[in-house]
Amino acid sequence: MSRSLSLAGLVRHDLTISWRRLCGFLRTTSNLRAALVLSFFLGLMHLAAWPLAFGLLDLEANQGALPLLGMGLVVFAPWMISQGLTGSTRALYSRGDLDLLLAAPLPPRKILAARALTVVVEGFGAVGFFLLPVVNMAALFGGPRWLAVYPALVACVLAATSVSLCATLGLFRLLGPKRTRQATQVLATLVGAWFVICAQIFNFMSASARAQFQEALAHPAPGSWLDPQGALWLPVRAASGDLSALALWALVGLFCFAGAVHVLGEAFARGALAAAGAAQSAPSASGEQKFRSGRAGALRRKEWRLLARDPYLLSQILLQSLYTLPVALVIWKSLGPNGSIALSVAPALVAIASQLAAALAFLAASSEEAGDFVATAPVAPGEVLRRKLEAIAAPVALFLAAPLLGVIWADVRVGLLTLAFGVLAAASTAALNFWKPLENRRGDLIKTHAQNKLVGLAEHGLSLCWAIAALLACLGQWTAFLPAALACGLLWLNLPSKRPV
Amino acid sequence: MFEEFVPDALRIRALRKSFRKMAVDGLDLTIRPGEFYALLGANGAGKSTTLRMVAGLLQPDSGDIEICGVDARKNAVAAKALTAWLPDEPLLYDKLTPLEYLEFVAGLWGMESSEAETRAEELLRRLNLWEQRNQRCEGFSRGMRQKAALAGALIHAPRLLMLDEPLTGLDAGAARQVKDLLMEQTRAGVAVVLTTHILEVAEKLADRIGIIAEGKLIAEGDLAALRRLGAGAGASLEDVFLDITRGVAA
Repeated sequence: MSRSLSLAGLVRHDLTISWRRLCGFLRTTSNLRAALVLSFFLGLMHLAAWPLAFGLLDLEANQGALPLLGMGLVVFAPWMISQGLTGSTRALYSRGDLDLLLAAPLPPRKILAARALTVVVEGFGAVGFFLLPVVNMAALFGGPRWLAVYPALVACVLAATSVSLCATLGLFRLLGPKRTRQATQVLATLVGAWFVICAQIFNFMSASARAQFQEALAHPAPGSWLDPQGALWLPVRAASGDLSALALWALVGLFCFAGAVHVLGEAFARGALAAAGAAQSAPSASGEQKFRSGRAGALRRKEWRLLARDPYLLSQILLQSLYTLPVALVIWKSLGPNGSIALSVAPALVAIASQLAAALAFLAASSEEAGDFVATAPVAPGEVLRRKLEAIAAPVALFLAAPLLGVIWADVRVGLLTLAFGVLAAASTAALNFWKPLENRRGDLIKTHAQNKLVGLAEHGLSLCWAIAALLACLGQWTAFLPAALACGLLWLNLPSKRPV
Repeated sequence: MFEEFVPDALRIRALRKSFRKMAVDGLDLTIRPGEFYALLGANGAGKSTTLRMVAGLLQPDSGDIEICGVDARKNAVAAKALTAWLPDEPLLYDKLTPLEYLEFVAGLWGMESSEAETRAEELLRRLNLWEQRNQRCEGFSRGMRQKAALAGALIHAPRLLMLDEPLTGLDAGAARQVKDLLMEQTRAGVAVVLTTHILEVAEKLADRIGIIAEGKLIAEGDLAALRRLGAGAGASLEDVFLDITRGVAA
């Protein structure tokens, strides 16, 4: 067998593709430039981690390393699984070179092993980018024992990828190829949302519950789930530098990974073929349809149909909602006894409106496969944009109608202000996505749904500005004008350049 | 009695477009209603750029474009209402069915729903896509996509139909269907402009053939007229084309 068919060769091939994808994400084709950009951001992360590391070392001195690392695991493990689920789904569904590999005389286990190892590397990179700078700084100022987090993290990612592979292929068997992609996206979103909720978990707890938990953590009952000597704490003990625990945890990670690849190899190949078949046998519309007249209606109906059939729709809506709702709880708690629920929900609803409109606008922009064709129609470009915005406004309004009515019922003034700021926020982020469409090849965009990162940043900025403006306006403070003006400025900076056609 | 004045389906005068180099260089072209015109040229000769300017997808640097008497540069929307453009890569929505796509196109061109529905059925039956009318286009083969896009181009009964490599990816049967449909269109008075690298198609279907090189129309006429330019009687269009374009390359 030639060298190119070895597992190492396959992994190298997959990692090359993965690296090129990262270069594309960084908007460069040069390896050197991508490496320099990454190094720059890693440097920044280390600078940001510097004060964090001192905080971490103080906490370690007060409470010991184990509770700290345990909390870190609870926060980061769902993120790793979410990454694994996304990676496993991509491995199964992205056609690209998979058809070539499946047609080659390669055992399916080898293909799966290569793909899964790439998912591991990507997962380690994504989590490590944020976590390891803190570890490095803690090791620099607190001692090299912190470096044990590295191998413990590798084993964690191996285990998380194995769990993700099992979940993806299990769902595949349970739901079939057509629904699994959507189901894993939703699952990845839910698991990922756990990361956000975990990060806020102490804010949600009452003072007494927090004290009780800290007491139980400081003096755990032997054999309880908080006992650091229990099996659940093995990865934590490994990360703390306990060498025997580290060796055992590394073995567990490797065993899970090798076992998953061995058991699931054939199922992966069958699944990949079935996924390809599912793409070929596209679903049919039910029943005979009657044509309807009208240019505006035709444009809106087309958007609604494409949005409703977009495989990313559900996960986008869930993502926006789940990631924003904890903020409402935090505001509610921080407002104290004087704060009303309506007041705390208002900025969250404004943020959801803006994020949801942005997500839908992005989907509508990225699903515009026939933009050139529409441009040949006797329709002014302004009308096309107007109809797209209308098409997006309807589902946003539908989604937010009930909570908005609730806020209006609780407090009419706050409700009406929320409505006004919600409309402004949704219109601004939707317009931003249409003004700044991606310049990728349309086909690639449809496959990846990867948003322009600068547009993403501007979108979050707008969302935040409108949410703060809404909160300040609801509190009756004139300073609401400031974030609103900032949002207008952001929009002005992103106005589209005029095109001659 | 005066004969009713019928404007040319397409009238291009001194059309210019440059990107880094000149893509279309002072092109003059006139196509009459009901005429089947084949625009030939090597890759990068300026065929697609010309068609994209006529379709309103590119702004010319200078020159005039008139479609059925309507100035396409001054009144783009009215001109677009009379034209259809079918690019070499069919522009379809994967998540729409052919019927939904045709309803959308009919809506864009402001057709009455009943008329659009009848015409959609007629076209889909004609192109053997009726059975797949409720299937999403994402599962379609290249040929099926090409036929669905052609149905979209024809549903609003354009007066000028521009097709960029319309037979690419079609099997023999489908290619015949498309050719028959195009000939029918010309008999109904629709002007068809087609670019193709399959010279036999141009040879058999076209009333007139234009050969474009380096953005200029270097030869134009029916096959007999083109043969007289050099390749001689009995020469195939391929011989004629290579003979004429070789002269430019030299």
